[in-house]
Amino acid sequence: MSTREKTSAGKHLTNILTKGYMDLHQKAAGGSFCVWIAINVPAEIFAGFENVVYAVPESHSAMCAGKGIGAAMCEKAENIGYSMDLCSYARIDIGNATDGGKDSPTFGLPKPDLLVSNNNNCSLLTKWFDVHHREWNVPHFIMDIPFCYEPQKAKDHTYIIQQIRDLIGLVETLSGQSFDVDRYTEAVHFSWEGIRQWKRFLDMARHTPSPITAFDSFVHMAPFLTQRGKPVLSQHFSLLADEAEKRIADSDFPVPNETYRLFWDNIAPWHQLRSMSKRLGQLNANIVGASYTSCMGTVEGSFGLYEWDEKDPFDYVARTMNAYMCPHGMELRHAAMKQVIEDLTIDGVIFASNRSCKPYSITQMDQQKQISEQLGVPAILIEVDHADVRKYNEENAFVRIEALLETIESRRNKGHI
Amino acid sequence: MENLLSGEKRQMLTSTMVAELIQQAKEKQVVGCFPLYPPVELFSSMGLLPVVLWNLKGSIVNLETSDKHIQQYACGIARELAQFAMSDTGEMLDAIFSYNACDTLRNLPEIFDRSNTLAGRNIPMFRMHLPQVDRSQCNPEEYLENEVVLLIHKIEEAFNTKFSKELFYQMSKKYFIMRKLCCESEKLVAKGLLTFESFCRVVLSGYALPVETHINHLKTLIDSAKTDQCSMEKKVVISGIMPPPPPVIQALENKNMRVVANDIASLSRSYAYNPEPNDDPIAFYSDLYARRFPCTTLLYTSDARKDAVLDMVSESGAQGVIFCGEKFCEHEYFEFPYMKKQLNERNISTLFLEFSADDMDHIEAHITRVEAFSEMI
Ligand code: SF4
Ligand code: SF4
Repeated sequence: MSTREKTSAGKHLTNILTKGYMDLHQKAAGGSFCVWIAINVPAEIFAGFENVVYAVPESHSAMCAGKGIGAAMCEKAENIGYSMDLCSYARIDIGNATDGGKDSPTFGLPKPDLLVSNNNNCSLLTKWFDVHHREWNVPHFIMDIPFCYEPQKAKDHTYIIQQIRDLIGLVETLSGQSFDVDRYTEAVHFSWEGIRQWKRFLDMARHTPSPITAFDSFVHMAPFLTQRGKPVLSQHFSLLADEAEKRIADSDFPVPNETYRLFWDNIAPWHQLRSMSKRLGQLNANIVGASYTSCMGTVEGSFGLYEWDEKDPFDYVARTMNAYMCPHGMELRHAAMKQVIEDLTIDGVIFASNRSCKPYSITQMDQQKQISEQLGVPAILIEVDHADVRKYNEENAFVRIEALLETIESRRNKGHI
Repeated sequence: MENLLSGEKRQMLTSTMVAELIQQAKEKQVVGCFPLYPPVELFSSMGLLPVVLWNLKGSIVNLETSDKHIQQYACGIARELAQFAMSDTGEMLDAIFSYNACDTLRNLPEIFDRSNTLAGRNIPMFRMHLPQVDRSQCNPEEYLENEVVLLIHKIEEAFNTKFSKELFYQMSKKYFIMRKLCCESEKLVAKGLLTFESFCRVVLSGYALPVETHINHLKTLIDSAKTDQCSMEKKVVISGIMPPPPPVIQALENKNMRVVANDIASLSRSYAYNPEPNDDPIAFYSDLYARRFPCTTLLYTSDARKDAVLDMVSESGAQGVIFCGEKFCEHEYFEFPYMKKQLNERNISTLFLEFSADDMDHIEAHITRVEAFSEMI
C-alpha cells in the first residue's frame, strides 16, 4: 500500500483522541464521576448525567499496542503473577495500573469510581475488571448479556433494558447526580449519526479498487469507543467518508494495482498495522474489510446498518448490544460474512486466530471450513495476538497469506473466480 | 497427534466413564451437560440421565477430532469435551445441554451441533442462560424463572415426556442425599480416614451415574473409611477446576499431606451448598444458583470467593494451599495472584501447579514440586 501523507481525517483523529484523553483526565481530576467500561457497554448512558466521564481500558490497551509498547506493559502484569496466556489487553491494562500509567501515551487512565463490564464482550473482561475492583475497592457492575445463537430474543432484550435501568440507578446513587433521559436520547442520536457516517465510509470498499483498507478502519474506529454519544463522532466519520469518496474521484487508491481483495476476521493486529499493510500492498493485496470494524451499529447476523426510528433509545441500545466484536454465534457470524463477501467482492478471507481472544477465535476453524467449502472462497487461518507482539510470527503469517494469494490466483486461472 | 491414553498412561487414569455410560445408555436417554452446574435434578426427574461432561481425560483416546475444530490454546477440559462430544463417544448422547460459563465454552454448542448434523446425528441442543448479575445490583429472578420454564418445555417437547412436581421432589431429595454424602466423605478425608484419591474417584464418577448408584458408591466409600489414627500430618487445601491427576494426589498423600478441605469446582464447589428438597423447580434453582459455593466461573460470586476460601483455610487449619491451574482458564488465572497474595499475607504457603491436555507428560515434574512443597510446610 502506498505511503500516504496524514490526511485531514488522520489529523482530526489525532486531535480528537488527544483532546478526549486530556478532557478525561482534567474532568476526572476536577471531580467528575469516572466510569471504566467494556466496549460493549452503552456509553451514551453516561451522557445522561451532568458530570460523568467514561474511559475504555480496551481502547487504551489497543493504543499502547499500536504504539509498540504492548509487550513491555504485558510484562509488568506478568511480573506480578498474571499469566502470559491471559488476554493481552487485560495484561497491558493491569501492567499499566502497576505504575500509574508511567509509560502510557495517555498517562494511563484516571482511576475509576465505578467499573462496568459486559460478559457478552467476553466473560474474561469481567474477571479482568474484578482485578481492579478488588485492588481499588471500586464497585463493579456486571452487564449480563445473554449470548445470541439466534437473533436476540424478546426475553433477553427485556432483561438487558432492565439492567440498563439498574445501571442508571446505581450511577445515580454513587455519583449523587440525576439521570436526564433527554440528554441520553440526544447522545444515542449522536452515536446513531456517527454510525451512519461510519457505514458510509465502510461502504466505499465496494468500489474496485477500494479507496480504503481495513487498516484505515482499524485506526479510525477509536472514536467509536471513546467518543460515543458525542457530535464529534459523526463529524469525524463524515470527514473520513468524504475523503474516501474523493479518492475514488481522484483515482487515488491505497493499493493501486489491487489484485486481491481480502477480508479480515478478528481484532486488528495493532502492533502490525504499518508493516502488514505495507507488505500486503507490495503483493497487490488489500484487506478491504474486517468483521471487527463492520459490526458497529448492526445486529447479530448482518453487517448491515440496523435502522433506528429515533424513538426509544433504550430499545435501540439494548437491541444493538451485540455489536462490537461480533459477540454472537457462529451461524450468525457466518451469515454476516457470507453477505459481505458478496457485497465487497472478496477473493479470500484471513481468519486471524487470536490466542488472546477466545470469544472471537474459537469458532474460526469451523467458519474457515464453511467459507471455503460451502462458499468456495479461499480462506486461511493465521496465528496472531492482537496486542502482544511476542506471540506473533510475521514470516509464518505471510507464508500463509502468500499461499492464500496463490490459491486465489490458481482458481482464477482455472476460471473459478 | 497426542495419544493421551496409550499404554502405561492409561493405567494411571481414573475415569471409567465410558464403560459406565455404555451401560447406562442402554437403559436411559442420556443428556450430556456442560459446564459443571447443570440442573441435573430436573433432567433426572424427567426420566433422563444427565451426564456432566467433565473429567473426560480418561474417556477419550486422543484429541484428533477436537484439534480439527478447536485451537490448542483452549483449555484441556474444553478440548477433551469437544473430543468426547464429536467423536464416537458422543454417539451415546441423546441430547446436549449447556449454559453460559466461559468464553471458550460458549462457542462449543454450535460447533458440536454442526459436527453432529454433518455426521447425520440430529440431537436436541438445550441451552439456558444462567444470570450472572450481582444480585445486590439487579434482580435476575424473573429471568431465571423463565429460563427454567422454557427448559422444561423444551425437554417435554424433545422427549415426549411430562414434568412432574412429585418426581422433581423425589429427585431433589436424592441429590440432597448425594451432596450430603459428598460432604460427609470430604470430612473423612479431612480427618485422614479416607484418601483424597479414593474420594475424588468416587465423587467424580458420579458425573456419569444415576444419582441412586452414586449414592450407593458414596456409602460404600464411607463404610470403607479407616477408624484408626491418621498418620498424614501436614494439612493442605487444594483449589482449582479439577483435582490433580491421581499420581500427583498419591505423591501428595505419600508425602504425609492430608487434604483437609478442597475448593475444587468439580468437587466441593459443586456439592457444598445443598438446597433442601423442593417440588418447585423455580424456587429450587433460584435458591441453588443464588447461594452456590463461590466459583470462579460464576461471575456473581466473585466477591464472596475470597472470604469463602480464606474461611475454609483457617477453619481447616491448613498450612498450605495447592492451586491446580487449568492452563488457558482465564476464570481461574485472574484470581490466582490475588488469592496467593491473600494467603501469603496470612502465612499460608502456596504452590501453583499447571495442568493441561498433555499433563501426563509432565507428571514427574508435578510430583517433584509437590514433594518439595511438603518439605516447606
Ligand atoms: S480481546 Fe477478546 S478476550 Fe480480550 S477483552 Fe477483548 S473480547 Fe475479551
Ligand atoms: S477450565 Fe476454565 S476455560 Fe476451561 S472450560 Fe472451564 S471455565 Fe472454561
